[in-house]
Amino acid sequence: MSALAHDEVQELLAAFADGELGTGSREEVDAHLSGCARCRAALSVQRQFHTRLSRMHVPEASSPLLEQIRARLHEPGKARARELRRRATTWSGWAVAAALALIVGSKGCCRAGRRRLLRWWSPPWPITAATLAASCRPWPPVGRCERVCRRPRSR
Amino acid sequence: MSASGQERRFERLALPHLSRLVAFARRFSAPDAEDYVQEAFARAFRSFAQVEDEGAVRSWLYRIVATVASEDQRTRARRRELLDVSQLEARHEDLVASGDAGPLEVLLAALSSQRLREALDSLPEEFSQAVELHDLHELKYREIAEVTGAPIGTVMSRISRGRRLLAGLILSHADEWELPRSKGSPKENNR
Repeated sequence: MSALAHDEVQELLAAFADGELGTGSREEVDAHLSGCARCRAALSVQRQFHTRLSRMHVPEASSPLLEQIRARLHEPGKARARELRRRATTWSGWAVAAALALIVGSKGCCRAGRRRLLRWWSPPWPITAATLAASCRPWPPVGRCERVCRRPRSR
Repeated sequence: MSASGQERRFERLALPHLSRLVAFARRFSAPDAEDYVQEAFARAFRSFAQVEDEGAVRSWLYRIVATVASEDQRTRARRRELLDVSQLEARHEDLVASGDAGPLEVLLAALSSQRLREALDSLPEEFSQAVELHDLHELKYREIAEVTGAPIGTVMSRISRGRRLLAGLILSHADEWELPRSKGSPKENNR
């Protein structure tokens, strides 16, 4: 007689029928089955249900669903692109604000300085005769800024 | 891996399971099954780059579908018909006590798939889910343990017991469902 109790075997019969038991347990169940007609009948019940249920038809998913899923798979990419665009817009906004602050601030407080800064920061900036003339002055400007801050400048 | 490469990999590994996942999702709510699967695929795709073991994709998808469906309040509102489980076990015991499961074979042969499906769905959730995942969806016991989060020993027990309950249920309703009884078939009794 097997070491396994009848109730224990009952719980293992599905795994035995489905080939999911390890060798050791399988041999123990096998030994019990050889002397237990009730468990053999219970094993037959397990097998009958597996056979019957595995033949049941699983309906195909609707084709619109497949298309909907494919459409949704593309969504994360689109959302990522939108996010990158939004970030780029935000960063460029900050960059403009920072440049303006720089221009209006310290070294850009006189006209020539502002022009140089603008030209340095943004090469495509329209170059006029006045800006060219301004560019001939030394940089950073020396002496006193006479137009805005009137503070002495140094290199 | 590029985004398009990731999409191709996802389509190759995940989409073949679509129909079975929809069938599985129907157990939670038939009208919402496709919505659950759609949401599950969207979630799966978002974290698909982290998937290394391609063999585990199937059970992983089933688990996501189960999670999505469980999160839905409507599935929680659904309650199975209360069954007297001990009575069903007793009906099964009556059958196997004779040492012959032949009468059940006759009943099963006459039972329509729809009726069998309804019988399966009326069992307590943990039993019917385990039986369905193995017998209809062909998941291994190890995969079912991954889907349900139950130890593999519990999965074995649930499948065994689920089929026993199913047998008891069919035997109990054989007359009501007008199924033919073979000679020696256990009769309905009022326990």
